[in-house]
Amino acid sequence: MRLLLIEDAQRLSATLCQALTRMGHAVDAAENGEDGEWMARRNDYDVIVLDRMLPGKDGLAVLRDLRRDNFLTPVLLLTALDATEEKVRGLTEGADDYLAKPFALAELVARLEALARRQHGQADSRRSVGPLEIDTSRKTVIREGKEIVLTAREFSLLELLARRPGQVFSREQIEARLYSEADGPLSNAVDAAVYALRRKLCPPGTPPLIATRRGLGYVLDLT
Amino acid sequence: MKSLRSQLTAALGICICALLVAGGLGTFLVTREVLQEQFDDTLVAKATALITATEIDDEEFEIDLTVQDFAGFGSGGEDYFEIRRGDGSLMVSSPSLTLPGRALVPGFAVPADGKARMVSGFLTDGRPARFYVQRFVPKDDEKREYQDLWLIVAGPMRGMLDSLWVLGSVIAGMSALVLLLTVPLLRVVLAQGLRPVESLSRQVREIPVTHLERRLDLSGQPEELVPLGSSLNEWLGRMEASFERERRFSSHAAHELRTPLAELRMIAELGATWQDQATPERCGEIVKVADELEALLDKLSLLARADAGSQPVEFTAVEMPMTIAVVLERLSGAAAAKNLTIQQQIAPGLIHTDPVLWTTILQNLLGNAVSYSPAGSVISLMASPDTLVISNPAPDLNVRDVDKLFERFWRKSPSHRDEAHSGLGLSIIRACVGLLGGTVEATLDEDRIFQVEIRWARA
Repeated sequence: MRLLLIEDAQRLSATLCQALTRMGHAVDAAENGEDGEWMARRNDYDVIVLDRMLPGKDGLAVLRDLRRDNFLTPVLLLTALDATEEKVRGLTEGADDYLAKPFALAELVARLEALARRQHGQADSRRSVGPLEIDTSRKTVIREGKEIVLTAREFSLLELLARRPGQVFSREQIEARLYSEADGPLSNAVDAAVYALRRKLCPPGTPPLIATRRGLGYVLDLT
Repeated sequence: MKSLRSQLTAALGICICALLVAGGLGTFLVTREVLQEQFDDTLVAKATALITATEIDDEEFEIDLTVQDFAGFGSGGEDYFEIRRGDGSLMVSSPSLTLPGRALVPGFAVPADGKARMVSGFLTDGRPARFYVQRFVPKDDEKREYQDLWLIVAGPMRGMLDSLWVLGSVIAGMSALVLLLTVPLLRVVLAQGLRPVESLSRQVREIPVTHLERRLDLSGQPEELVPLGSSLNEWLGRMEASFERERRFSSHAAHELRTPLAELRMIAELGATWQDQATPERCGEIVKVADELEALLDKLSLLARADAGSQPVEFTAVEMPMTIAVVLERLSGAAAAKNLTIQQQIAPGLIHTDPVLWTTILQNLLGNAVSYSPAGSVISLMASPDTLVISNPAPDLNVRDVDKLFERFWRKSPSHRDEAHSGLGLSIIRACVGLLGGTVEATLDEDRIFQVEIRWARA
C-alpha cells in the first residue's frame, strides 16, 4: 500500500513510518495539515492516516477540504479524542475509520488494509488469481499448495498487479505504489523487483505469470 | 408538583372571599348603625313631641291626644309610652298599651343619674325594642307638683330587623354568586396572564445540552419577564463557556496523555516485532517519553494538591535576586540559542515566600517567556517584594487567547510537537500564586507584548 501519514508528534510519526515500511508499505509523512493536504492532492495514496489535532490547519479541516474537492482516498482518523461525539464528528466530516491513541500496530494495519480492500472493490483479504492464492492480510502467496516466500516489497508488487490482472502497469505507476517520496529508488529498482517476483512465482519450466509489455510496463498475464 | 396558576387562583380566591365577607359585613353593620340611629332619632322626636304635648291645666296633668295619635301612640299604634313619677308609679300610658298582650317592661327603674338614655330591651311580649327614657316637666306646672316625671317611650324594632335581614341575605347571596364566578374567571385570566411564563419555560425546556449556544427569544415578552429572560440567557452563556472549557480541557488532556502513550507503545512494538529496531536509541526514546510523562504527572500532582488544599506552604525569607539568578542561569542556554535579551529590574532583599512554589512560578514564567519569545527579542523582568512582572513579545497570541491562557492544557496550537510544554504552565502559576496569597493577571497590549503580573498580598 502507498500510505500518507499526517501526524505532528514526531516520535510517533517516525516509529509508525518505520513499522509500516518494514511491513512493505510505502509511507509518506507530513507534520502539519497544510503539507499533508498538499501531498494528498499531489499523490495517489491507498489510504491516508490523518491526525485530528494538527498545528496550523486542523485535521478535520484538511479532511473537509479534501472531501469537498471530491478526493475519495480512504481516510483513517488517528486521534487522542475518543469521545463518541468526536468519532461521530470525524466520520460525518468524511473519515472512513477512526482509531484512538494509543493503539496496537496490528489493529492499525488491519484497518488500513480493510480500507484499501474496500477502496479497490475487494471484500475478502483472500483471493485467487490464476494459480495463485493471495492472502493480503496474512501476507501469504500459495501456488499449487506450496507457499511462496516473498519480501514485503515483492508482496506489495504482486498485490498491485493482482488487483487488475491483464492491466498493464507502467514503471511510474509501480514506483509510485512501492516507494515513498523519501525512498528515492534507483532507475532499475522496479525492473529488479519485477524480475525477483517473476522468478519466485514461476519456477523453471512453468509459464511466466508476469509479462513485460515493451515500452509500456508490466502485466499479470493469466492467459 | 405545585402549580403557579392553582396557587394564584386559590390565593386570589381567598383574598376576594375575605374582601367580600369584610365588605358585606361592613355594609351590613354600617347600614344597621344608620338605621338604628334613624330609629332612635325618630323615637327621641316622638318623645319630644309628647313632652311638648303635655301640660298642667287646672292642676291636672293633660296630654294632647292629637299629638299622641299622630305619633303612633294611639290605639292600634306600634309605639308605646308611659309617664311615671319619680317613685316609679305609673301615671299615664299610651292608648296603644291598652290593647291585650301589650305592655312596657314592668318595674322600670328610674335612672339614678337622672339623665336621658336610650337602651335596647324586650317588650313583655318578647319583641325586641328600643326604649327612650327622659325626665321632663310639663308646661304650666306653676305649683310644681309634677316636677319629677319620667317619660318612657318604646318602639319595636321588628321592621328594622326585617329590613336588615333582607339586606344581609342579599349581600350574602351576591357574595356567593361573585365567588362562584370568580374562580373560573380567575383561572382564565391567570392562564392568559401566565402565557408568557409558559412560553419562556417551554423555550428553556427545548434547549438541549448539546446546543447551549441557543438563547431565549425575549421579543414580545412582558417587561417583568425580560430581566428573568436576560438572566437566563446570561446563565446559558456561562454554561456554554463552562462546557466549552470542559470540552477543551478533556480533549487537550487526552491529547497530552494519549499521544506519549501511543509513542511508547509504537516504539515498544517496533522493537518487539523487528529485533534490529530494539536498539539503545529506541530505548533512549522510551526513557525520554517516560521522563516527559513523569514531568507531566508532577505538574498534574501539584495542581491536584493545590486544588485539594494539601500542597504544603511554608513561608520563609528567600533571597529574591539569588533565586531569580539561579533560574535564569538554567535558562541561559535556551535564551542564548534564540539570541534573547533579558532586561532585569530586581529589587535587592528578601521576599517572604515558600521557596518551592516561588521557584516553580519563576521556572514556569521565565521558561514560557524564553520558549515563546521570537528569536532576537527582549524579555523584561521586574521583581520587587510586592510584584513580579514578566513581559515578552508574543506575535502569535491574540486578545481572545488571553482568557484561555490559564486553562489547563490549553495551548495556542493543539500540536504535540513541543514536548517540553504541556499547556499547564500558567495554570500552575495561578495555583502557586493562589497558595501564596497573591493574584496573577495576564494581558496582551496592542503591540502584542504579553505581560504576566503577579501581586503579592502585603503581610
